[in-house]
Amino acid sequence: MEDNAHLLPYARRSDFHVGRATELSGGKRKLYRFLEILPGLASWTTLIGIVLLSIYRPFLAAYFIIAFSIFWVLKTAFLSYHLRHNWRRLRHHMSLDWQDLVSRFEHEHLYHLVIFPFYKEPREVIEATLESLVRVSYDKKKLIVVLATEERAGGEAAQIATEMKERFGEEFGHFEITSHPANVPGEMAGKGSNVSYAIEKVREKLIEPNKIPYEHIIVSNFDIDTVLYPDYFNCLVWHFMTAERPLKSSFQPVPLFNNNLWQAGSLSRVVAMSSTFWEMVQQERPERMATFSSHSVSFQALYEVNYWQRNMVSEDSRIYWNLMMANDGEYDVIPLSYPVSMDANVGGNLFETVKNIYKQHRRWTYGVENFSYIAYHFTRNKNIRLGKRIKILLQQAEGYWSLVTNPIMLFVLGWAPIFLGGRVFHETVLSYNLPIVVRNLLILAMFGLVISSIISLSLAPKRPAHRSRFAYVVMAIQWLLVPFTMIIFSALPGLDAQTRLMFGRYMGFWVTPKKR
Amino acid sequence: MSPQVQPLSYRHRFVFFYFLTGIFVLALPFLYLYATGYRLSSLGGNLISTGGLYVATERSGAQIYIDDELVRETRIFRRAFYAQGLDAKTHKIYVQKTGHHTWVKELPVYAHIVTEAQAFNLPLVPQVRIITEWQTEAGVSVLTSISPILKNASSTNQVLYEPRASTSTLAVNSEYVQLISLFKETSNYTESVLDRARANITGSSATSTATTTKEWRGVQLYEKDNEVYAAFVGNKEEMPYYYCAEAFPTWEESNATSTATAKHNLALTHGALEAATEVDELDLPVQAISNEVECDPVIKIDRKNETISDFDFFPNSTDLMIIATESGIYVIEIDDRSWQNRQPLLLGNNLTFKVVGSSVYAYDGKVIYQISISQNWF
Repeated sequence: MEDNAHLLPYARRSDFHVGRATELSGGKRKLYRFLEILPGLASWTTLIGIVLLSIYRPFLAAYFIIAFSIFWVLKTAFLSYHLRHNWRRLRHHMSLDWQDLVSRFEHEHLYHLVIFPFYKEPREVIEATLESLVRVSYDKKKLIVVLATEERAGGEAAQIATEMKERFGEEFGHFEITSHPANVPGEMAGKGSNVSYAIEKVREKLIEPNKIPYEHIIVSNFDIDTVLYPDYFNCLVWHFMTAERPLKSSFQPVPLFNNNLWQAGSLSRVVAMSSTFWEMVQQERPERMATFSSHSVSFQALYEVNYWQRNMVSEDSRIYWNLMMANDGEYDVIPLSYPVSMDANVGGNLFETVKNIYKQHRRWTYGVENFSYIAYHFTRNKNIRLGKRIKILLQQAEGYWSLVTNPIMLFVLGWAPIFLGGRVFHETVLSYNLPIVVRNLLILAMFGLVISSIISLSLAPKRPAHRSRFAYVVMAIQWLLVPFTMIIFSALPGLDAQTRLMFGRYMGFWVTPKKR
Repeated sequence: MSPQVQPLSYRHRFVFFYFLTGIFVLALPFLYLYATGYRLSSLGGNLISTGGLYVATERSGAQIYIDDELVRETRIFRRAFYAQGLDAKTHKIYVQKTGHHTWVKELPVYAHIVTEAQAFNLPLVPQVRIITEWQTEAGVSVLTSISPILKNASSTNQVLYEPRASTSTLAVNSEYVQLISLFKETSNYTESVLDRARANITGSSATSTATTTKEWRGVQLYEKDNEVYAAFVGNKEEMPYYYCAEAFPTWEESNATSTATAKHNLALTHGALEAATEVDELDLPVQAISNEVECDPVIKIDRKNETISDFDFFPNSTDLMIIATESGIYVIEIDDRSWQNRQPLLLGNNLTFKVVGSSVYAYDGKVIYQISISQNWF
């Protein structure tokens, strides 16, 4: 029997887990390389195009910028509408008694395999994570906890893992420590290779010997700083049991980056909450969703595609595309609208914080490597409806393009015709009115930030005793930093990532330092 | 039992999306028209083309009036005003400040074009620092005769009036010695000193092509046939608009000629709109401005029938120049779209002046006066 017999037919392809063009050959390699170049090329063409347009066709550039500003205001309204609705749903879900809700289902057969990939994070981070797991309102004997360590992390990390097992091992049905070997050929050192190694080890050591049906196991791949809310597993089970096709679905919670919100500075808070808000918006339009960061999925589905990819950075979102391709498009992401708490990015000082946030967001935006993967496999898997392929591709292309270009176009290049348009343009009413119109539209768009401010305050953890009430005022007005953070921590790292991919300077996995 | 708050339905989102798309489609042409200067007419509600006026001042606390209506009281960081939605016709602008000369101009506003103007308001009573040849040991300037200049100016430094002062008890003022050498040296030499000084201040280079020619930042001032001209010789992209605008007749021309153009401009100048309509249509067309400037960017400075004995750029400005005439030293704007505003910097007979960096020095044959210039210029 072939060792890939358990895989879905499409997942058996040699190029199914392709990570970059260099892993292919011939025409496939050229196509994939072209698709890697495309996002960066589109973004740079747009940005340079606006500069050139501002110089040679300033009137046209001005008209475009006005149109784009209106589009931005309406886009803000559209996203705010989704955000506000998800906020309502999130709060409602947090107020529900999920234990009671799942009690009507027969769910005792379900096991939860909870994997925490662990590198060199501080002891207190892991403790807080496991303590939250101990506090969940769920039968903990149904939890199989895996602390997936890295051999290259050294003895201290192994020691911490052992201590954690000694302290928390008895709390759960099973507590396993795995050690992902270093320098495995064909693998990239990172989360994907670690968790895939860990889950296979657990399968061999625990699942197979105990003959636990794969479809009875829900795998939760959590970042090591993921602090769970008590009803997470009840909420997950309810959605799993009510899903149309639970084994063909991934389940996405809302990542609240608020574990250390009171220790973080304004910059970190705004960036962290902005990421949360984006995920909240996505929860209301699941057809555009891919899994992100901490997420859950059935073991059966994972096994059918040989788990997460081991050779690329964005394994958290790539697993969704793997599953979608392997299942011929018949695969969903189900938004849980229930939170998990994670860490905001905090460094030792402001410079370190800025550097860490930039690097973290560059890693996240390097998810643009998924575009090449999606487009490439859409040319291969004709079982997926053409309409669906086109729609997804356009959505993804727009997403990666707008992430990089929109903030720069709006806050920087919006003024380009005024400075580059020349004397003839400068003397026109249009030249004088352009900054006024754009400014007023941006102010209008800033009202969306009021909603952001209110929602962020409502999601903040309880104020520590040593922090004054004035901190709430700072947390409310910190949203004025958004134009700055959008460029520095969204557009620029995005452009950086796309440019690296464009030139074939492939990125490795950068582990975000955790600090509380 | 299931959660009460359902996800947003696709239909809900679809309707909202198309609602916003509708707003986009409606708002876009409206904003295009607004941004390019179209406004709804108060009479009849039809669309009319309008233009704008941009008036910059160098003073805070000044009042900007357009068509006799106060539109802006300038502040430290808001020293300019942009008026939009103005009818395409001639508008009267004046900028005034208590204790300062009023700047007045009538400028045509063209549809879809912004007419720019730079106002200046010099103090009614100029402030001068008196630099005498002799000073006391304590450094106090000593005047040996009454200066007629001080009738129209106030002194910022302490001056000792001592008509019988003996030079043996006084010290030579080294600053005076240094400055007087500038006034007495040949023009070529003076120019190089001045140019170097100006370059130090502004970081740009100035060149002199002749004793009566001064050039700075693309503007050349020169004398020809007893007239003084300003010519733009720099990058055309940076050329101020007024170089190629229709010229306003000088004092002599307005008295000596009766061309249609002169009548037209005179009519505009005096606000006689009806008269202007008779000689030329006031309904000004949208002025086509070409990148390839075909006009001769030379402006004649209106000397008001006086003889200009010396001229130079006003410190840090290519819009203003300083001229010396028999009645005093004046600042005059080069912009000749309507009359060239001229304001006295220091009144007095037979004064000469030198611009050194950001300072202007005047000399009446006995005493040197450093004229205070508002720091807002720099």
